[in-house]
Amino acid sequence: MKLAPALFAVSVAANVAALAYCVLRPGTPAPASALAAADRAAAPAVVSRPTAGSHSADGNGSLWSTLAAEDPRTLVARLRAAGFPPGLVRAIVEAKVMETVERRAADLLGRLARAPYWRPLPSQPIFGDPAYREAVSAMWRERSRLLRDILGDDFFLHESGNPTAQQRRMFGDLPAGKIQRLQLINDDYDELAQQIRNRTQGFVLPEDREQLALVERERRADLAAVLSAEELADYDLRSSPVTSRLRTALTIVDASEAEFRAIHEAYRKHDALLNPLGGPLPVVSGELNRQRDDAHRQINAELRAALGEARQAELARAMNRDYQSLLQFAARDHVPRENVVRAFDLREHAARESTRIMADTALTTAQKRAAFQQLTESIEADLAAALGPSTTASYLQSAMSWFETIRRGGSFSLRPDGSVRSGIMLPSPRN
Amino acid sequence: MHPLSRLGFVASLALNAGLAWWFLGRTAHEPSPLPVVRETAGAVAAASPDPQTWARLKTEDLPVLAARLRATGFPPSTIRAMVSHQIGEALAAQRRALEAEGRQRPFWQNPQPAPETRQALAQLDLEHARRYREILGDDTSEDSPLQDLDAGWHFGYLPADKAALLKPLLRAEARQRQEIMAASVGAMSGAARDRMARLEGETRAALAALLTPAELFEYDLRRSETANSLRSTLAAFDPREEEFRALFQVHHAFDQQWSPRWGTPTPEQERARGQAYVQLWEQYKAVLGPERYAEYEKATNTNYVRTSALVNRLQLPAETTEWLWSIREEYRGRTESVQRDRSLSPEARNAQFAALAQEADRRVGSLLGGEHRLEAYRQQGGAWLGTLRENIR
Repeated sequence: MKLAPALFAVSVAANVAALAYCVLRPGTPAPASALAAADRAAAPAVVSRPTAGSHSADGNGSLWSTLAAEDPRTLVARLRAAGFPPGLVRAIVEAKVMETVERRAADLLGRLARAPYWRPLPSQPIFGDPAYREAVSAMWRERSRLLRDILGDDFFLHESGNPTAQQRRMFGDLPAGKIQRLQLINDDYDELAQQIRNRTQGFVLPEDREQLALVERERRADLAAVLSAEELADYDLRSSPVTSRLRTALTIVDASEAEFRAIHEAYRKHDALLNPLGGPLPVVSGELNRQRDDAHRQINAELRAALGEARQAELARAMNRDYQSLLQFAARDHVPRENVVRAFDLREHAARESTRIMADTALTTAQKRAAFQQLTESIEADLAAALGPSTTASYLQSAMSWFETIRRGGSFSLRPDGSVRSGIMLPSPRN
Repeated sequence: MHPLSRLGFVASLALNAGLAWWFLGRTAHEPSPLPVVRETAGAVAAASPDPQTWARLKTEDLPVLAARLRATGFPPSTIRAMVSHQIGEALAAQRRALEAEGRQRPFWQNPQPAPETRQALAQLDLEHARRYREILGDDTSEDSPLQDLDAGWHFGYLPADKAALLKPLLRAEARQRQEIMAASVGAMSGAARDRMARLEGETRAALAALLTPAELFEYDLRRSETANSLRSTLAAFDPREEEFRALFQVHHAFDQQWSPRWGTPTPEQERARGQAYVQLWEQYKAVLGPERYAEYEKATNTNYVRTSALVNRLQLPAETTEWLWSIREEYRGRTESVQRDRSLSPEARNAQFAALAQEADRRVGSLLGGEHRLEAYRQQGGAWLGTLRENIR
């Protein structure tokens, strides 16, 4: 039979071809049942390199290794393509960026671990290490910059597509794109201001204030390039330090818009004197104190004319930190507002009485001491009657410096802004 | 056909059949390839991830989600971030409802809601933390490098196993502290202060059970309020390590008896504290000796501290502080001499005061390096320069 040898030759050729294909074919995935074992084996040829910080439990070839990337932008793209929602992608990327930033900063921050425990920590503003603090600030700035670069895509705009509520409060009803530009401007200048403050080590020198003022001028110029005159005026009202300082008091009195504008204008005119850029002056001369008192008198007069006597008094009370603390204690213990006002106004009575006692030349020192004792007890009783025991105890323990002054036998008065001015103290009693 | 050839033919056919069966079987069971991505210069490659990936992973059951993420190779830090985010999402509706009241307020008022609402928000934060711990535990081994550095400063003197036991204990204390504060929201009641005091007592007892007395002392040298205060107070004095340890020992004993953090002393207790305070300075003298105590008194003078901090800020040599101080003392002495000299007429006295003031400004300005630094010194520790001029009537 000649057919048999021919078939034999074909069969052999087929076997040779099949075996050659088995040896030379490109890699194909293993059956599903063996995938996990294969994932744990050698690295696949075309799977992305895992990120340096990843601790993939089953090594290359896992789901995570198909998503992970050294470049955060690639990571974002892959997560997005894999159907992860914006908020989750943001959370993952923030964690990745923080790891990267912390690793870079760890060398610089090693000095914290080596700092002697008997010396001020490098993080201390005074006698600390300004280079350390700048390294920490730089770490946070780098994180913000990285996130801004990576997450600035529209994909990450608030999921409703609108700016955040906080941005609306700060910038008003502007288009989202304009708000983003303004946010970038503010972030950049806030970073510059922070670098200046980090150098001060708690002591703001005249040159620091000059630099901060320059930063603010440049910030304003950049904002003015983006905003119309009307938008800039609105931004000033919303975002100025004057408004920030007034907010608590304006909330307490529930100020209307018209009242807010009048109050803002009255304080804005004197803001440079009352709140120097860079923080309070370390030493305030007598002349400067007089100028500040005059400024407050002018503010009070202007607001009495604009708001009326009663409303101005309400605002003056609300601006005081002792009153703000007292309101918190009272809210905790459900004390009516009129009782809180009555208790707080005891300060004025105490100031008048302490000055009268101290000035009374007919009294001996011992008699003055007894009079102060009596004043203390009557104030404490009146407070308890108005506030109840719990709020009174909290109020007395808080920053009530004037009460401590009369308790120790001293006088005080109230400045035009409502703050306490120390007077004269009786000499300490001999035991 | 030759028998051997026949045998070879049969074998070849058998091999054909085997290879054919193998090929057919592979084709039937071959799964779709895993999504494969090539990383080329930051671009996503042609084969993109499966868009259903998250849909398949996602579940409302967060422990199951965490398990799925672990099983598919997500790293621990990513799992923590994802679980935390999902917990936040679960609580988001409650949070938005609570924050809605504040958002209604105009921009010139605080968006911060009423105290009761703030308490409820603080409770939500605690609930978030509680769920997180339930799902992921309290493992500190994945702490960030920054936290590890902090631990190195705080616990580096302890054996590793004790340091490892300390971290969860302190975390638990911090959590309870947060719960007490959350219930107070800015105004701690007497009951809250009592709870805080009890918590600190319990933590102290736990530390004493875990650490030896020597280890507890080292712990307090780093973490106590006394130590924190002393590090600031003594900065300009620049104590040696043994001086710091000795001063800490006497001051810590004083603070433990007379400076309770959460109690309110009675007037009698305050008087007793005042007397104990006098004794404390006697102990300081005994620890430091007369010479070093004199340096301590100088270095804790407010003006000296301010001067020292300014010299540090201006990056001048440290001895500049001593030079400025000795100049200050010199002019104080010379001013008193002029004041005591009854032979001087008012005009002559004023002229001498003016000359002293000018001379002092010139010398100090030269030492500091310029007028603007002189002005800074006047504001920081150099008020005596102004006092010189105030003598001129």
